[in-house]
Amino acid sequence: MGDSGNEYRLLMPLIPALLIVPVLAIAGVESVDAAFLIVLAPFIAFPVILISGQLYNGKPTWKETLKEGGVIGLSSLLVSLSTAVWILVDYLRGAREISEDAGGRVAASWIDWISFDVLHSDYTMSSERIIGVGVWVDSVTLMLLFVATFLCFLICWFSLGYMNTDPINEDRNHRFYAEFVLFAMGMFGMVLADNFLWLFIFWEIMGLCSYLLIGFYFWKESAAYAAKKAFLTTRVGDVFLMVGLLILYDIYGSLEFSVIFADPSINGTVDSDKLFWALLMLFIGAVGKSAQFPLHVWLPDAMEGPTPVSALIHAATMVNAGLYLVARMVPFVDVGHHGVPGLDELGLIVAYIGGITAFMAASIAFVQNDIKKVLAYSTMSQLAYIFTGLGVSLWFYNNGKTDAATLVFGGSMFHLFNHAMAKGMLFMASGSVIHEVHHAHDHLHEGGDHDHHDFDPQDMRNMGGLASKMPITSAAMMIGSMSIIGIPLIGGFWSKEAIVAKTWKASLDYEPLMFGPAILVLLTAGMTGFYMSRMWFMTFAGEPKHEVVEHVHESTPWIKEPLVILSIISALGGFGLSVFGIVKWLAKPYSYDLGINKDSFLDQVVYELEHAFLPDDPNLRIVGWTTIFLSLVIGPIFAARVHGGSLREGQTSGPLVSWLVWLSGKFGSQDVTEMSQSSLSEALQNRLYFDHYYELALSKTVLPFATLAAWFDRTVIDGIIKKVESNSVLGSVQIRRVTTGRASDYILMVAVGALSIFALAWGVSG
Amino acid sequence: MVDFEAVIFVIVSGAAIVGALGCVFSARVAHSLLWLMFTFFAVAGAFLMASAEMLAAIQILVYLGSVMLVVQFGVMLTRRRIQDVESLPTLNAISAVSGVGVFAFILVLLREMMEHSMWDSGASTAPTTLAFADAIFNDWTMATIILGSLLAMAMIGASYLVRDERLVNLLWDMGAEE
Amino acid sequence: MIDPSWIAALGVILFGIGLLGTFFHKNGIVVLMCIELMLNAANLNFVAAATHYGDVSGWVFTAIAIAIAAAEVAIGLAILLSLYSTQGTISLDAARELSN
Repeated sequence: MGDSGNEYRLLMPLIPALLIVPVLAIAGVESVDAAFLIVLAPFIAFPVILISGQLYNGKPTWKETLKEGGVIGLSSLLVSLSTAVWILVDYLRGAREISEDAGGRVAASWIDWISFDVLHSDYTMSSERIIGVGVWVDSVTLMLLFVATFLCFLICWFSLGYMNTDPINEDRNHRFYAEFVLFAMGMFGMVLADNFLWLFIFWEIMGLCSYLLIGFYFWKESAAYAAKKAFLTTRVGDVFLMVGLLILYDIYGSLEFSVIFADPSINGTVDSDKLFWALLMLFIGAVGKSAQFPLHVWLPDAMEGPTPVSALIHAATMVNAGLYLVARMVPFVDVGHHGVPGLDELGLIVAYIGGITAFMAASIAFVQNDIKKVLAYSTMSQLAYIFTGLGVSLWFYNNGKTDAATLVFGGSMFHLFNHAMAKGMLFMASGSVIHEVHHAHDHLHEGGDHDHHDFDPQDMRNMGGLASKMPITSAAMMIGSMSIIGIPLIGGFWSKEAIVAKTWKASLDYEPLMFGPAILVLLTAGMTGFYMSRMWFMTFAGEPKHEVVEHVHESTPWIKEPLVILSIISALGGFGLSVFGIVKWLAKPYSYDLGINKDSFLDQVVYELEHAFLPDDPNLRIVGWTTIFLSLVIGPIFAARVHGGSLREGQTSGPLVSWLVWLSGKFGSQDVTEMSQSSLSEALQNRLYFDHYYELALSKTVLPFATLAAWFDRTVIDGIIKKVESNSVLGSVQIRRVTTGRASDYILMVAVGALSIFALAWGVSG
Repeated sequence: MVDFEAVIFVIVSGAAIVGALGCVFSARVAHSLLWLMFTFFAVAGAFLMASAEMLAAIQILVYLGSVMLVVQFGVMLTRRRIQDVESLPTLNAISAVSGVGVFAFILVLLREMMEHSMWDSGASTAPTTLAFADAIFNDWTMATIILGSLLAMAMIGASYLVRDERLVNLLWDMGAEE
Repeated sequence: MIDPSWIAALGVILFGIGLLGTFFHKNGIVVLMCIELMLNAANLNFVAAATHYGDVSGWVFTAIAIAIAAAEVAIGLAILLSLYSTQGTISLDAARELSN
């Protein structure tokens, strides 16, 4: 840890990376044609970091100046980020005509990658273009692309501080950064892909990298296990996804978005049952990737990876991949635009899965003591919100209620944005806490007996009162939690409100079956208020619960800047963007601009506020205020009663958070020891026994089959191969006698061979 | 009317066949070589009969003049006395069968070839030497260049194969002394 | 000009004799000479075809074959010489290290 001012000169390599986009723009390149740079930059950085890491490991320049490859990764991600911003700006300026027929997209297609001739059943040949290389840019792509590039950049920045100051990572960081950029490439590529096959390829690249990154500390048994679990669980989903893609190909004869989305119903000839199964398979793939019930079990364990990885996987990229896939299903069901009617069960299924996961994850988060696990369950729960919203929007689209569908689709995507920003920041803030607590612990026990294994720097029961030690982190975490909870006017409130309201609207006005998800998301709003407040209070408020806390300092460079930037975005982004109409823009970029759609800015603000707090529908007004009441009042107050408390005498906290600490002490305290020993609590501690039952099921079904297969492999297959091998050895001994080594014999053989060929040719020619 | 060309060709080809048989069946390597040169000379005559004067010249200059000289050196370098008698191998069963096979093969091949339909039609005029030069340096330029490099490689390879290890060691020792 | 098929017939006969020689001889140099004989027979065939069709390509192939024969002789003799210096003989029966 050097002088932090001095550290920033390491950012010099970023300047050329920043110059690439202006140079291209001056050279007259179209922004969308430059999109390949977004994927290419990390793709190049990956081998560069890996190979130079192997070559220069341990050299001072490599370690100090290049941060073991971190600066290279940061530069490549900056190229991606700046290109993404360029495309975004161009898109918003309307540099290219965006038409409604094209679904509001700007696409570029560069080359045909796979194309082949197809022999049809009537013996006619036709040449078909299967897969090209190109990009598909619309508002959803741009939003996700911005989120992914921006967060990857910030997380890489954060990693420079987090990873490179931990002695346990010494000389291994180049692997981290290499895997990091490859992962980032997977996400960028997936978002930009203009057909389902490329989407699937990048999807799998992400899966591989998540395995590598979660298992970064592979010598820890738990980390290796978690990596394996994450890989296998998502694999289950991936297999379904692949099946779904095959069905889609069977239906449309192509996997390209431009072909499929041009007319998903093929003039109304598509069999809706078949399409339903295809989309359901795709959805199961998304469930695996986004850790939804019942394939959610990998996500909490994935916290074994380094904290930046948690931020990367669980906020910025991988879990959003599933949501993106579901968002891409909209053209299939949008009956207003050539969609296929009769698919509304799909929307119901998506909404139910979302509702169940939201509630379940929130309830498990109640009892977790590991700060990162709370965030993991919170991620699951919030993603489930988005799934619910997407399910409702699919249902609306399929029943022709396009206006409502548009609002809830945009709201869901907007929630994705808010959640990604807030959750990325929360993970980094928790990383900051963990990092500093860990360092303080090392510092405290310097020279003495190390009791590393007894002390868990991630356990919130070892923290408390950190608000005075870590002003920036505590403020950042407060804002992030507020955004997640949905405190009015901050961040996620705007999007969550839209999801909850529209779900209730669907259930009250149209479809009684939607009541399940509706009530679940409403309850979850309050539960979110509880567990997020609980996390904050346990960490930052109250008396310190461990001596280590006294030695914590907020001093590592590189860690604070991302927190500050993301705090500002989380706090103001929700309100600002929703005033500018992002919700409608995300769903219909061809009808709505991201900007002032009303007469004036003030009108817009008033309209949005009115829409959020005083909707016309009296039912929705009740629902809206119930949500606010639950998340703002009930949840936090319960949390404050159980875990709140003022700081120790003489300690002061930052001005931003002091009111909260003070407030948390005002609700008295309640002993919950008895409650925490109840069987429900125990079940929640054990994550509702999902892992247990999964393992039981696997041991009853897969393991016996695997044993049988192993026996078959060893005795039958290996037996045949061994027999072939021994026989061919015997045979070769016999044949070897022919090779006398005498040149004249060889000439004779050549002559006989030539003669036979001659005779054959003669005979054939007749 | 005696066709003089046919008479001359019979003489030339008879000489070639006799020479070839002599090459194969003489007991001394040096005699074999002389017979071979005789055969090649006759083949050059056959080239002339086919109005391929240029090729006949090449045959005499390159084959008889250079290649056979190299073979001559080979014979001299590998024998103590060039008149050593090399006994023919005993004719074992395989050799006998293969000899008969080859003989039958030649007969069948001759018959097939002479009766082949390709001889029914053709151009009556033989190519000219001028056309030959034109072909080598225009249509077959690349082949000629590649051939040249192939020859160079063969010469380098040959000299590498027969290099004198003692000389190499000597050079190494001199290098070490410096 | 005589009939080109006669020249081709001469080529066939010479080829057969050369083939016989490669079977019967053990002396490496004689085998090499027999191979030369076979190459010449092939040349005769080329020339016959070239004359018959009036196409100069056959001549070009012949010239190329002669050049390749020169290279082959050089390499073959070099191999035989190194064999002689290591084994003391050029009998092909002695060069049996490839066996087994």
